[in-house]
Parts: sequence; structure tokens; C-alpha cells
Amino acid sequence: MSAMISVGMAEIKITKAPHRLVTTGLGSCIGLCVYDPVSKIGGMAHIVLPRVTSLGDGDSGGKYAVTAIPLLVENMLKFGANRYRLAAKMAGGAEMFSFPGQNSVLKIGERNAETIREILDDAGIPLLSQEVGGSFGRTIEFNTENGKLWVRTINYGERII
Amino acid sequence: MDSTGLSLEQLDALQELTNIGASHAATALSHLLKARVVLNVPSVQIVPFQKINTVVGDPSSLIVAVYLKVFGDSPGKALFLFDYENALRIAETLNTPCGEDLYRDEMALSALKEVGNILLGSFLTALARLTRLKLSFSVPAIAVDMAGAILDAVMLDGEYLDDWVFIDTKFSGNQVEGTLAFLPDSGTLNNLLGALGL
Repeated sequence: MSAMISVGMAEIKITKAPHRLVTTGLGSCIGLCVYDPVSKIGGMAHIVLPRVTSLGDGDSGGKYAVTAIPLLVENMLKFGANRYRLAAKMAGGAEMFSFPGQNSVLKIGERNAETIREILDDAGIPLLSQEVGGSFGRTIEFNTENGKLWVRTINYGERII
Repeated sequence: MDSTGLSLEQLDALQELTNIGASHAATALSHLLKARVVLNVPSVQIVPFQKINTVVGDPSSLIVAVYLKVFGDSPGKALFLFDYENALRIAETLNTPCGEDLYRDEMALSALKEVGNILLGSFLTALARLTRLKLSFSVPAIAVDMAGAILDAVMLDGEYLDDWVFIDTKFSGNQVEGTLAFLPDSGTLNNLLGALGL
């Protein structure tokens, strides 16, 4: 029996086949999935912001890309995944509202995606596919049986990446 | 003190303030739609940021949200949330009927955006008058999407994570249902309470 494991905001969850990891209604947040195809161990982080923004935020855990990714990888290794087989996929990072004249520098969804790409690159974890940006929400489901990420939207159809 | 960390007196005052502000919004709405609109008692909750995407229920449910950024002495975010079927009915009442594809129907979206603007505008104007605070607000933006995605994006607009003061009140009537929410930015609830002498 395959269970659906729900990953809430700022949470990190690890599982292995045949279970699935699910996040519902991603807006500017990003669902990052990391997978070891041999052991079929998969992890998902529901990342909220690129980096720490408020002083004294000790319990940063899964909130920020900079802290969530190392933690996700560490937990996967403890679970039995092999560091050199890890590969990633991600979805989310939308801009749900548009205000006239808003500077693109401020777009948080894009900056989330950008930061995650940089950190994965530094860690030597290949980003196999992504479904980010746009102006619509996404619900994602990661299948640890085959490493496929199913991305559903309300107005823009669905894709498997 | 209760779980909000506010005294009963402060909670009462915020509820009353919201109630008066929302009544102005309800009157505006009832004129606009020529229908009776009833308000329930506002609720004030402190929502941990991890729970913000579920604060109005199922994060995957389809809703229509009008969002204004609030600036001035009590900066924050103001939202009006319609459920989808209701938004379609309102669009029809305003002579901009649309089919299933509301998200790309410019006329209907613009009518709903204006409804949200009038509602939130009258709410914020009443709030400013009652507290004698200076408030201004952005033009409205609208989204038709999953509730969770909309709320996470509103929270992240400003880029800090904090527990949120979520003050909301529901509108009901034979034609319209919706939720008006005001979310003071981090630490600015005190400005609002201070203006009330609390």
C-alpha cells in the first residue's frame, strides 16, 4: 500500500518507495524533491524563503532554502540514501498577484527558485527538471517508485516532470 | 490573556473595530448588489506562519481573492475572499456574466476586483477614521486559484515570517458570501491598539 505523506509549510519529510510525498497549494513557496533512484528514497522540503530575514531566527530548519537543503540531504543520508546518486526536481515559485509597476527584483518566487538552483549547484546535486514561475498555484505529488513529480494546477492543466 | 497573547479588552476592541469597519463595507456591498448582506462577529486569531495556507480551510479549494497592500501608520495586508461559485454569481449580478474560465475573463475579473476594492476601501477608510491613523492603500490585485497558494503568496509579500494576526469577518446574504481579512504587518498591531488607547 502506498501512503500519501503530506509536507506542510517549512517541513521536510523523507520516505521510500512505494510512498508518495504531497504538498497542496504552493504559491510563492517551492516544493523541492531530492531522490536516490537506486534505494528509491525520496525527500521533500516545502521551502518558504531564500534565506534568513529576521534576526535571532534560531529555529530556521525547513523555512529557508539555505538551511532546508543541507538538512534535507543530511536526513536522506541518515535514511540510507547515497550522496552521489542524489538528483533534484522542483515546482512552485509563482507570483500570484501582479501590481502595476512592481519591480521584478522583488519577486520572491523567482528568488526562491534562483537560490535553490545555486545551492544545488554548489552541492553538486543535478536539477533534473523544474516547473516554476508563472502566476498560478500548484499541488505536487512525488512518486518515490519512479522519481516522477506530478504537478497539478487549477487553470493551467497538469504535467509530470 | 488567551492564546492570542492579547488581553480580553484588546480583543474586544479589535473585534469592535473590525465590526464597525466591516459594517461600512457591508453597506457598500449591499448598495452595489442591491441585496441584503449580513455580517457575523469578527474573529481575531494569531496564526503561526506554517498554518497560514490553511487559515480559511482546505488549501486546494478554488477561491477568488482581492488583495490590497496597506501603508501608513498601521501597515498590513487586506484581503477579500469569495468562494468561486459566489464570485460567479456576483459577476452575473454586475452584468459581467462569465463561463467556467473566470481566470481569463477580463471583464468579470475587473468587476470583481472593483467589488473587492470598494469593500476593502470602505473597511480601511472606516478603520482610519475610528483610530485617527493615517492609512493609504495600493490598487487592488486579484487572483483566482488555490486558497493555499494565494495565502502563502500574500504572506511572503514582504518577506518575513512571523505569526500573523488574522482578523476576519464573514459576509453572508442571499447573493454574497465572503471573508474580509486584515493582517497587520509584524509588530504593527500595537499601532492599532495604541490608537485605541489600549
